[in-house]
Amino acid sequence: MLEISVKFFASLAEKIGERETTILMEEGSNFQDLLEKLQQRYGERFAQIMLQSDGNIKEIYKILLNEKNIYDQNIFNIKLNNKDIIAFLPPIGGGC
Amino acid sequence: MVLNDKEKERYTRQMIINNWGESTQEKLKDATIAIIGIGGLGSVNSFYASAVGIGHIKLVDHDVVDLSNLNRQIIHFTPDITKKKVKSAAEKLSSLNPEIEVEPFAVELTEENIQDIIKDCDVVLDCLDNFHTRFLLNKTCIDLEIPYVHAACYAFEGRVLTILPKKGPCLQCFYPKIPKEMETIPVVGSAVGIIASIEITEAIKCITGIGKPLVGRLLIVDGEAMTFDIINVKRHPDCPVCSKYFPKKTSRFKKSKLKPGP
Repeated sequence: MLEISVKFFASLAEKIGERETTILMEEGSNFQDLLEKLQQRYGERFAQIMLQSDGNIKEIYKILLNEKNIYDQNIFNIKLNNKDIIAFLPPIGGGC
Repeated sequence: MVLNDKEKERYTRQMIINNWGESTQEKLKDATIAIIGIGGLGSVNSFYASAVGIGHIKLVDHDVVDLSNLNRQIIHFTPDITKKKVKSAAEKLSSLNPEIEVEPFAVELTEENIQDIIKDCDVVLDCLDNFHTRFLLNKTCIDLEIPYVHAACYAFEGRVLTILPKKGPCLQCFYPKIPKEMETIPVVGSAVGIIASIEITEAIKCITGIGKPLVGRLLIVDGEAMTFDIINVKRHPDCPVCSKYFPKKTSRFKKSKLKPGP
């Protein structure tokens, strides 16, 4: 089994309703599988929050894998490893 | 410029830091910075900029002090309500440190005035509350080759990135398009204080050359979990702002002329 930590930041954490969770997945799972697990956890609204109409993740969200920005166009196929940390960051702009 | 006796006494505790001394303090005295936005981030940044002895401080903000600012904008006090923020801040900064010059600009930063305001600055601090002006500031700092520090807050969170033009990635390498603006951003003052203290520390490092600035390293502070994470930000090869200043990367591995084996 893979144990994947998922973190949501700023306004996204508020929309999702929690800041952090751990998802258990089968060996060989990829990012697409993780999104499906998250959809199961958070329900239909997860897709509404995260995805654009073309099914891609909204451009405004930065996705980090183990604290590295993912630049890969083909993000859905990225294979996950045990103890990976995925973070979703919305932009923040407050000068407050 | 040489330090006077009062300055030597005022700055004693920082001048005894390793590798600081009089020459570093003189660099600060000769430096000019612009603080863009005198809200929560700008309050703390301007306070420490003045205290540390940065010689010329430009304050840019067109707004006036409002009661709802005072939970976090610690340079403004209750009697300052309705006063221009730059005036309110300038009074405190000059009172804190009469050795420095404070120049208030009660204007909104625009394409028309930005060059005049920041062109002679050694460092600029992004204490803005919107991405539209941030993108303008980013582009202008890159074009004029002025180092600047980006910071932003949300609730208990904040982010800091130091941008050295033509050396590291810029803000638009990380945010290629202008994100949607939020009307009212929730925020707790003490978290803004953490972020702003980091931002001004970066500016001090840029001026003095001490330490390793957050270039290509975005600091993400989560005050709820109290975690400090650094993520690597790379230059975006198609960045609309800074990619023109970097030579196009050509692959070191040209298409192989070898034929695949049988």
